[in-house]
Amino acid sequence: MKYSRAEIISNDKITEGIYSMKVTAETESVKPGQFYMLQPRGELLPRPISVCEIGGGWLEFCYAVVGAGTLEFSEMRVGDEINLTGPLGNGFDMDFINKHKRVAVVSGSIGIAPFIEVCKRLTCEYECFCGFHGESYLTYRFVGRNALGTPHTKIATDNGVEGHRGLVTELFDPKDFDLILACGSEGFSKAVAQMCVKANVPLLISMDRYMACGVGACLCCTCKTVNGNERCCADGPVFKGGELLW
Amino acid sequence: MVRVNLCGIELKNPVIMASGTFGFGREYSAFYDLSKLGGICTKGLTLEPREGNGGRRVHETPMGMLNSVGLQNPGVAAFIERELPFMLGLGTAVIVNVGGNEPEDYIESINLLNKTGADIIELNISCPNVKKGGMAYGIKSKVAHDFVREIRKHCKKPLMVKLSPNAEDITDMAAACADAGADALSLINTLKGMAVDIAARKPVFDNVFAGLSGPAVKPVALRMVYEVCKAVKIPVVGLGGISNAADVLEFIMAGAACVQIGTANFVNPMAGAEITGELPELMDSLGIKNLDEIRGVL
Ligand SMILES: Cc1cc2nc3c(=O)[nH]c(=O)nc-3n(C[C@H](O)[C@H](O)[C@H](O)COP(=O)(O)OP(=O)(O)OC[C@H]3O[C@@H](n4cnc5c(N)ncnc54)[C@H](O)[C@@H]3O)c2cc1C
Ligand SMILES: Cc1cc2nc3c(=O)[nH]c(=O)nc-3n(C[C@H](O)[C@H](O)[C@H](O)COP(=O)(O)O)c2cc1C
Ligand code: FES
Repeated sequence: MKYSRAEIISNDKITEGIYSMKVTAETESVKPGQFYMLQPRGELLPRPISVCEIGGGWLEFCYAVVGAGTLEFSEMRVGDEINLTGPLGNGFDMDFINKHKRVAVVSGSIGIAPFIEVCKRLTCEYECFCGFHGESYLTYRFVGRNALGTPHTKIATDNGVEGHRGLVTELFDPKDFDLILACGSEGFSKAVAQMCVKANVPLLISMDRYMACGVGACLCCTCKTVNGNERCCADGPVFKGGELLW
Repeated sequence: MVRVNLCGIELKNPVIMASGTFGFGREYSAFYDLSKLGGICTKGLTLEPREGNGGRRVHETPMGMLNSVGLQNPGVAAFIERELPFMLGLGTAVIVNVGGNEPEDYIESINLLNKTGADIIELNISCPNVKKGGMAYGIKSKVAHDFVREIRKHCKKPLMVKLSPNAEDITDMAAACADAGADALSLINTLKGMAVDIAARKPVFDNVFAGLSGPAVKPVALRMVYEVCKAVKIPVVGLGGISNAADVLEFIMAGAACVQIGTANFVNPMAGAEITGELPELMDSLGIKNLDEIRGVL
């Protein structure tokens, strides 16, 4: 992990409110599911954003505009520089994941972001279940250009504009899989975790917490677990579903 | 040019990392050589381990942040066993921040720390005192005076008392702590604030109130440091919103012996290295030969 300045190579709108930014970076040690703290110039604290795709010498972030910081990111241009710290967190252990037979990848909204790189590296059988709000399902079309875009991907939207009308949790039965990977909002995470615990199927889930330092020093981002409070930024963001307390 | 003697402890420079913003140094040691720093204040420690507060712990505000971590820490004994040896090997001064509820807890913590190689004890008096009906030691000067005098009897290390900006009268509070035997003062701790989640129609924090820090508090911190430096003879360590070497010089000119850096570490994990590096350059460019020349010039 390093604090550095990166150059923006591209910053494109995917669909209303969803953008994809590519920046120059050293990527040898970066793992899928890790994140960077990206610094908006106009705001005090940097913003945690997951690595969406890892290239040779570049990283891609996929982000939703939800407030001042992400709005500023969306307005940055090719050639602009951005300060960032990373890679941070544990990420997904691909060797461990690939030891399984059938894996379900489950995402809520922009929680799809870390799975682009994950799916590229999956060597086992897998299916993807992605939930979106309305038209933001188009995110899937874009980021789904890679491994995610298999015929095995099922989509749920709240207004039925694409795929199943309703919740992504209605699309799959954890019992059909021997490992679930998930990332989404807090409500989504809780619902998926409860399903997996009930079905007794192991879950690896990337958690969303408000952060300050992003490196493990401030204890602002803790998740309650069976091992006591753990730091989402340094001990996570990927946690074993069975260890989280809600 | 930037060396400072803080109550008998030689610091390489006046830049100390503030309690609760630097853990025990481990995380930031991955970014730079911490021996560059004047010192490090540990996360606030209590006699028993603490889980800290539930619910949201941080909320960003314009150029500031509110935190409600609630003194999550492993307890003094675990700190001495697992973290202190690492810190003592860093080549920088180790300042142990001590909090608690009951005076007995504080005293027991300090007795444990007396036997260690820690350089300075920083007494956090912003914690509620259960015996006094939950009132913080740091609000009323008389309460603080009695408390500091009691702690002083037991503390064999230099004792630095960290003042809360929420004190009824900051200069009176500073004078009371100095009179009770404090060797130094540090200020300010966070300002009591709050935020509302308008969608949920609820306070953002389970505890309703939280501590404000960052550049937003700097003018208030600077004013308090200036007033306190005029009111007491013991060294004063200034903090609150310091983000760069220019901010450091402002506090030293206001009279501070040295400074602490808190929230700025979150904005840039290299803050400590950059500020210590920039300070001599900035002094050079302003024709300042040493810190004594400008300390308290206002
Ligand atoms: C490990 C991790 C990975 C993430 N990856 C992505 C990603 O790949 N793509 C993406 O679009 N978003 C991601 N997020 C969420 C993203 O960090 C927030 O949407 C973003 O911080 C909002 O900033 P803002 O200034 O636009 O919003 P504002 O609401 O103006 O932000 C105010 C403050 O709250 C914080 N904040 C607001 N919402 C969140 C949130 N949901 N989670 C954490 N902090 C928040 C901000 O960081 C900032 O400090 C991730 C969060 C975490 C913890
Ligand atoms: C996340 C966080 C945790 C803190 N924890 C402690 C603590 O345990 N003990 C203490 O005395 N001060 C604590 N503080 C206060 C800081 O040490 C400092 O006094 C305050 O943040 C003002 O300085 P700053 O604006 O440079 O951050 C904490 C501050 C923050 C932001
Ligand atoms: S954000 Fe500071 S410990 Fe995780």
